[in-house]
Amino acid sequence: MKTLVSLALLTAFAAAGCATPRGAPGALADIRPGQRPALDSDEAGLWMQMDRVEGNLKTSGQLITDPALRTYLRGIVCKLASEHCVDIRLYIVQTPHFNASMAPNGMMQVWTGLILRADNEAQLAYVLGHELGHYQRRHSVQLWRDARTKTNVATVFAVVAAAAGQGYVGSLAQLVALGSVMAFSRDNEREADEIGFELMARAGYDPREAPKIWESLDKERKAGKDSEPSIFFATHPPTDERIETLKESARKAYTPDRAWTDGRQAYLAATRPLRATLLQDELRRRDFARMQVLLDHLMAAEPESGQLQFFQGELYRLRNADGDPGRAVESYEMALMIGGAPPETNRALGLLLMRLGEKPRARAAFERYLTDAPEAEDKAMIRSYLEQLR
Amino acid sequence: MTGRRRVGLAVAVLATLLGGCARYSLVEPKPRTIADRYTVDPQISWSALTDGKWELWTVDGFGLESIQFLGGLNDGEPLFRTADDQKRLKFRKDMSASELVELLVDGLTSIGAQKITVTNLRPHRFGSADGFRCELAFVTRNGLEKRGMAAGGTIDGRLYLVLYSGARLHYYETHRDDAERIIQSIHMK
Amino acid sequence: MRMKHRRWMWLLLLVGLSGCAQPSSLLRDRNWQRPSGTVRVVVMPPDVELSELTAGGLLEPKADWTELARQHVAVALERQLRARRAVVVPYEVPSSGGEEEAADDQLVKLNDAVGTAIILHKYLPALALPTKTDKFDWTLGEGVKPLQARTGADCALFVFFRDSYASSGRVAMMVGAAILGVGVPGGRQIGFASVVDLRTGDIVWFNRLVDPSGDLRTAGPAEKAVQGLLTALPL
Repeated sequence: MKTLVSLALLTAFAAAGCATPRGAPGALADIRPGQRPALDSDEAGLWMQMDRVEGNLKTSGQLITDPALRTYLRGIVCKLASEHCVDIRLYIVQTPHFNASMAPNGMMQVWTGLILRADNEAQLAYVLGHELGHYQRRHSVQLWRDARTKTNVATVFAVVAAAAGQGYVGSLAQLVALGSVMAFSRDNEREADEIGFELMARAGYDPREAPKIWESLDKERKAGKDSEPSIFFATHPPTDERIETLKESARKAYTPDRAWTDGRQAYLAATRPLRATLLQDELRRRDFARMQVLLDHLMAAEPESGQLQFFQGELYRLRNADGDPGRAVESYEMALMIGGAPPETNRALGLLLMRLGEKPRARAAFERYLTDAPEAEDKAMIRSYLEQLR
Repeated sequence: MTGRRRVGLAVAVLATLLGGCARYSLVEPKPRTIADRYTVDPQISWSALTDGKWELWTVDGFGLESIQFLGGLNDGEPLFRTADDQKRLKFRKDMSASELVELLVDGLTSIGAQKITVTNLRPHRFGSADGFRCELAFVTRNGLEKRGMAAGGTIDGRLYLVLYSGARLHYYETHRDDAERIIQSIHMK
Repeated sequence: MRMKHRRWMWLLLLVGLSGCAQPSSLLRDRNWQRPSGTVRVVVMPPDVELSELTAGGLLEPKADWTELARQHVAVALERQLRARRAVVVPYEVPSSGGEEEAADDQLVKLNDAVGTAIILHKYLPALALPTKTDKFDWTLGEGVKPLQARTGADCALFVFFRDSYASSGRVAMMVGAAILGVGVPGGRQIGFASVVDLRTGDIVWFNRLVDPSGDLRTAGPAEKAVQGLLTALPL
């Protein structure tokens, strides 16, 4: 990704009607709609950097610009942010990492790793509401001010500047190594959770969905390789207490007489067209333990998906541990049987069968591939395999 | 350039500044041996640099255009050495061309390329091997759009690759024909 | 324009250490004919960023300093060009939609890559390219045509500055400096300018700021820096 651009630097941004600062005495006041910092303020420096990052982001080539998806997501954001919606510019960034962030200048990012993992609109709304909470309380300004007083730690700016233009895992490690600078405090997290929760409930989303996204993220994180740092967890330290608190809040907030929605159907309709691309991006990370958790989660909700079975096969094929080639073949064959599997399924099956010396079956798979995708970019190569397998 | 490579370059530069010798050598347009395995006809003059198993040539600077020769990757090695080698896809000597392309994409990803697309993958005789050719497009981590072409093959269990890439604006086109002729001129020793 | 903080730090270091025997400005062709009559120059937005070196050794970009420097640099640029009787065409972000803006952005990114190549291979003797011996023929190519068509300018001027000012006596320890055990003095100014002939896309002139010119936040030194940078500007 052109950029794991700009970390979660969230700045406050006032929620409707709430001008008095909450939290600790001396806390920054909530941001008001349309407000900009004075040019000589330290906050202006932060905005300037965010403006730069936003400029880079716009031309990074990493954005998903599909109008239907943008309209859909923006609708959710505006439902949550109400009259502050006009101050927000939403960017969908194509990267397999889970993240959402909101910068002091109104730039909001949603990374496709998040879109892949949210089960429904309600879960997405909670995460976006959480980020709006950080923005509202200007937690990032506080973070940045604290960072400046620490020695031997790169500033948020240096990190952001390094991030702006970095897109690959190598930079993630650098950024997360500075995790102590980037992490919101427990108080900040609690506040943002409260606000996120409020906003989603007010908009009619089922509050019981809020803890679920943290739970599945946590599960994935525990399965993932230690070496793979998570930007989101670097800035939002995971705690068991959080999940319990959210469950408790949900119990209190959920009143059966109200018509809560999770927006699952609308969410699937809007995001399903993108899923194959996002799963492909996920595969390229090569973190198979983590991806297995994700696939298990997706397949639990959708056991009869040829697409998901294909990706299960790909996971086995690329992991290539003992017995994996055989497992991969089984998955591809199941995908083909279920239906809805992409044309690449037959190619992947053919390649594996060819490797295993199963010539007639390999030929059959390649022939099916060429039938389904006669204009494939690799048709000449596939034809040469067919020649070799004669 | 990867972070590691950048550090390596800086240290090397500092060393040469103290030592006083230049780093790039001149490749003249006459037959030249690569990796002690095959010869090519460079077509024109290039500035050359060696980095491990890779030999890199450029006319205008590596950020603008370059032709890179990989000389014999062994079974179990990733395409480029980076900080997260452990996780990367490794070359297997029984890889099909399609899988070699996956290796190439994984390698490019590891050094920061994004939005990598591969087109026109086709068979190509690389020296004594049934190899492949393809075209590429990608974006550097600084957002500069690039085009590329690759040719490769596995000979005696080791991977040989030629990768020509350059900025989509102007530089790729400038030496594309030279790169094509270089690929066609590959001749086993 | 974006800031590649880390990469520019390396360049600053390498440039700072490279010592003497470098060219100042580079001209593509001694006989380059400047367009007859008045020359229309589109001045690309100066890519300027000023940072503060804090007590903790942190490099912190400063909005107000940068804004000041940008203004001073822009004013100085205009003044320098008018003194040469060039017609300054201000750069305007294309309003007709994302594609033109993206195309301009690719041009800027390419210019950045070219500028880097020039600094590495023409100003650092150890990195000289044998293919560029006695040659200065870099170009942006045909990609400049849309810019030319939109602005009607003959040339484009790209200017780049990075500078930092120490807020205390403490000096930042750069990795390279640590290797050599050399302390790099505070206030690392780097600047370069390129003139691109929009008829051909060729970099007809390039200059690197050699002597740090003082505090770019104030008009006088900014004027001096721009003046120094545009010494021997062939317009």
